[in-house]
Amino acid sequence: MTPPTDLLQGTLDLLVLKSLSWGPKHGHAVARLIHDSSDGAFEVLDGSLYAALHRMEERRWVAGEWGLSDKGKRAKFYRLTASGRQQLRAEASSWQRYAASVTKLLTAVTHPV
Amino acid sequence: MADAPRWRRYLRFWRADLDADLDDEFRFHLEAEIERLVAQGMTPDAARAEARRRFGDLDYYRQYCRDADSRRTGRERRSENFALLWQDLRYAVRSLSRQPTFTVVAALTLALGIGANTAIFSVVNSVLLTPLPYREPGRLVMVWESMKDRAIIMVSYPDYLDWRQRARSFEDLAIYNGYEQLALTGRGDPERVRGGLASGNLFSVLGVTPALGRLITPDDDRAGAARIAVISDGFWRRRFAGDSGIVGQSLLLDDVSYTIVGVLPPAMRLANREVWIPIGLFTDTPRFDRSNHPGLIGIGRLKPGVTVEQMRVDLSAVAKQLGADYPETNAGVGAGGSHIMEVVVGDVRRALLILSGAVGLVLLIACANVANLVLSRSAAREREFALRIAIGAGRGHLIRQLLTESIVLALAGGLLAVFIAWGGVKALLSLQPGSIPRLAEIRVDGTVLLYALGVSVLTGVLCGLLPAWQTARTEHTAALKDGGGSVSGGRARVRTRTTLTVAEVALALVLLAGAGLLLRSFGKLTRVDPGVDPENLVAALIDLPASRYPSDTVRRQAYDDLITRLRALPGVQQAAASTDLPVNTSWQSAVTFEGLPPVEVGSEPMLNGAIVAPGYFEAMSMRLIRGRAIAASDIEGSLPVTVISQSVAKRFFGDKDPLGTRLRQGRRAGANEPGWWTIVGVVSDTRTDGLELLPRGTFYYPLAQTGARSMWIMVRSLSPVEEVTRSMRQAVSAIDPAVPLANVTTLRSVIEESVSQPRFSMLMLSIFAAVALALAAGGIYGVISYNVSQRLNEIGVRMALGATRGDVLRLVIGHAMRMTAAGLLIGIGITLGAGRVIANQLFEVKPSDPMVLGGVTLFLALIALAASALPALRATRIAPTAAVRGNA
Repeated sequence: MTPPTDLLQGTLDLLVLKSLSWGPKHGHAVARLIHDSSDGAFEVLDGSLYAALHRMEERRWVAGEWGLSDKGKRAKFYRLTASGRQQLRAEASSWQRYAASVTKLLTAVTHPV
Repeated sequence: MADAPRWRRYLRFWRADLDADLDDEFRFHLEAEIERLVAQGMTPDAARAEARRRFGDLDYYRQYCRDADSRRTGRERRSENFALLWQDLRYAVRSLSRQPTFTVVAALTLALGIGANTAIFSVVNSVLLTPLPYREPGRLVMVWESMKDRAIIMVSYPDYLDWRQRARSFEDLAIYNGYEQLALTGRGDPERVRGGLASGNLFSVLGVTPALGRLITPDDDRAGAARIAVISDGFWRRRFAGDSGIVGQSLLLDDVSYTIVGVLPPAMRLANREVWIPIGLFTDTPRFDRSNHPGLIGIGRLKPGVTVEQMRVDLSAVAKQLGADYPETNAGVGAGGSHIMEVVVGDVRRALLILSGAVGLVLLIACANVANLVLSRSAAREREFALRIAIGAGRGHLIRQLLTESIVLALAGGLLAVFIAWGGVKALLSLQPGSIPRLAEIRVDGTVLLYALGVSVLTGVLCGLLPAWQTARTEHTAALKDGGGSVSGGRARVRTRTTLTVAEVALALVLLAGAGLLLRSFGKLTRVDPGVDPENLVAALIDLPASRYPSDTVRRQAYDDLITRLRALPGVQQAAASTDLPVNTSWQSAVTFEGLPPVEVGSEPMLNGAIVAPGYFEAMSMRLIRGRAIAASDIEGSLPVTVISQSVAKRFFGDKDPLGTRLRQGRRAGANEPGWWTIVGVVSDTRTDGLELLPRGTFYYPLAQTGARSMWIMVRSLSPVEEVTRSMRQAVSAIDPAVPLANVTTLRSVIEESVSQPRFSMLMLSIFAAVALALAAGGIYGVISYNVSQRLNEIGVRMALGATRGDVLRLVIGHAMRMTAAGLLIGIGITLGAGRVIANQLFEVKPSDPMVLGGVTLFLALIALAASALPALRATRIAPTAAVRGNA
């Protein structure tokens, strides 16, 4: 059985890494942040976010730690590790190159030589 | 969002429950999401459904995350353990290098033990454990015939053909003769090569494939087939320098040309033959009649699932049928066989197992010694241990740390041991001519190295466990408080050390007793009178090919000439000729005596037979007991005469005079049939069947009344062996330059060769016993020295109170001797109990031999006395006041 994927796995990782770059968050907070900032442009299943988080924890891009949420409940917080930060930089720049070339093609008015 | 307080993570047990954590995490998410949705105005039920919808397949994601988590924690645990091990290792190396003397002594001790074990294992591995180089060797058996008076006789060729037809146990049954001597001529010097006759299926039964060309096939194996030969790898390299164009070349053997069709692989060493030719080329000659048993041994491949036991039953039934079908030749002839490995390895298995046990004991003693060293070192490290425990190291950690140290020590020893084993195996091979089967296969290989590694680790655990446990058990806090040694720990340690030393003495005694027994047995064996004077006697085998010496008359003339020439050689005292050496006989025959009550068919006595030239008995220094020797007047046409050995006379005639009675080879026959020989003399016995066995008895025929193709010529001369050999070769050349002088040897070396296996066992065990003795002496010395240093105070006080030096000596040595006595008693008990292990390796010595046991006990006691005398003398030199003050 495969999960419903709305985004490429790499793109999802990029979004999660980016949302953690502002500081440690629990999974729910990551989900809210991605959902709110997408303006509804894409739908991400919350389960696939957790899959990404645990996968990246295995790869040591993020580190999980148990703590208390602002409402005083026990929650697992994720923070970016040094290698996660490196990964974020690499993936962000390749995404930007990719997006730029797609944009360039889409906005071209004449047939590119 | 508030930062989680760091201490909170300690709320949970550090090795988290992954499932519970995952459930908690998902539950938190769903609850937070529902709360958010309700706050936006949804009903709780709708909010719950929506949160679940947004999450997706809960079970799938749980499984996905669970897998990732367990991979992650598994890896973390591994790297944690590795880091811990690395830390322990570094600590161990640092700690060991702080005390280089201890480390070197302990590592050397262990290297001796591990090295001896590795060396013996490399022999055991090659000889006993490595399968023979044939296809599925577990299904290969060797088969033979038997008679009541002799368990193994060679197979008659027609019997073999019938076995092949009638026996049901075999997938296929082959036969070979591994005793042929072939004269190789036409290429350089004439030479005797070791030849074998093979049935066409021999190599397919064995599952051997050629290194070059092809092997003998059933097609080659019949009368009138093209004459072909297959040569061994060794012969190919020695004689033809490994010429790859050898196939198709011809070989002149006994003046007949054979075409070489193939070369065997190097691993194929069956019967150590150099040239194999098809047996079928010869089987129409009388030599292969049913009544003859011409050096043939069968090799069968059992059908899958058939046991050797079943095969024996099968073969015996066939032999019984043959006995009924051919009563005149086969009545009473049985059949038997064994796994090929049993036959090849034979008696050596037991000797090697005993040696393995012995090196095991040496290793145990080495372990005890090192454990003792570690214990005394632990005493000096009390403060270190106390400190480590005080700063939070658990006892488990302490034990692990100490075990790591001893394993590192043992590994260092093991590394050294590999070199010892390598040198040892080389020395062993150079010392060992031929008594160990598969000698050429012995080497230090990967398996052996792996074994050394395993033994090293085991040794490390063995000699580290006791001290580690002892140390962890000790109450260490005292060491920190008063700065001195902990009293209770010290006492327990002394007890442990005493026990270890007692064990060492006991084991050393067992080894010494074993070595002593073998030594005494070997002494008795080599003092056995062989019945001939073997000094300065050079022997060589001569074979006159049938093509140029077609009749007995011609051959007799040639041998007469040769003996006359040999006697005329300068420096030669005596010269003689016989078909067999007096100490290593191969020809046996069933014999019937005239006038004795007839025996049951098949129970005829088997005696050794030999054909000798006149003067043989005098030349061998055998004594004439009755009648006369074989004389020059015993020639063809005169009365056929024979001389029997003393044991034959005793066995069959008792006190009666055997002279004038007639004997005949083979079964009952009428008095007027030919083949009767009149006994004219009785000579003293020679040890024809090995020094350790009473001879079965020999009858001698005159050469001039029979005839033989090949004979041993023997020359007694005071000149050097090489010179004698050279003049013997010249004498033979003078008669026929194409006849080679083969198997040149001295009778002394034939006898020595026959006891080389007991000599090997004796030498090895003596070496191990010497190592054990040195280790045990070192152990006693170490314990007593340590004890003296612990009791300085007490000794000082005693001396201050008026004890004399003699009192102190008695005190210290008394302690050592009590320990030794306990060890000796235990050791004697073990030796007496385990005696039967070694009993069948002994010749005329019982395992409980009081001379040996008493001797080694006394010897070990003296060594213990010497080892304790040194520290005892040191103790007497203590100035009383210094001792009392020194350790206050």
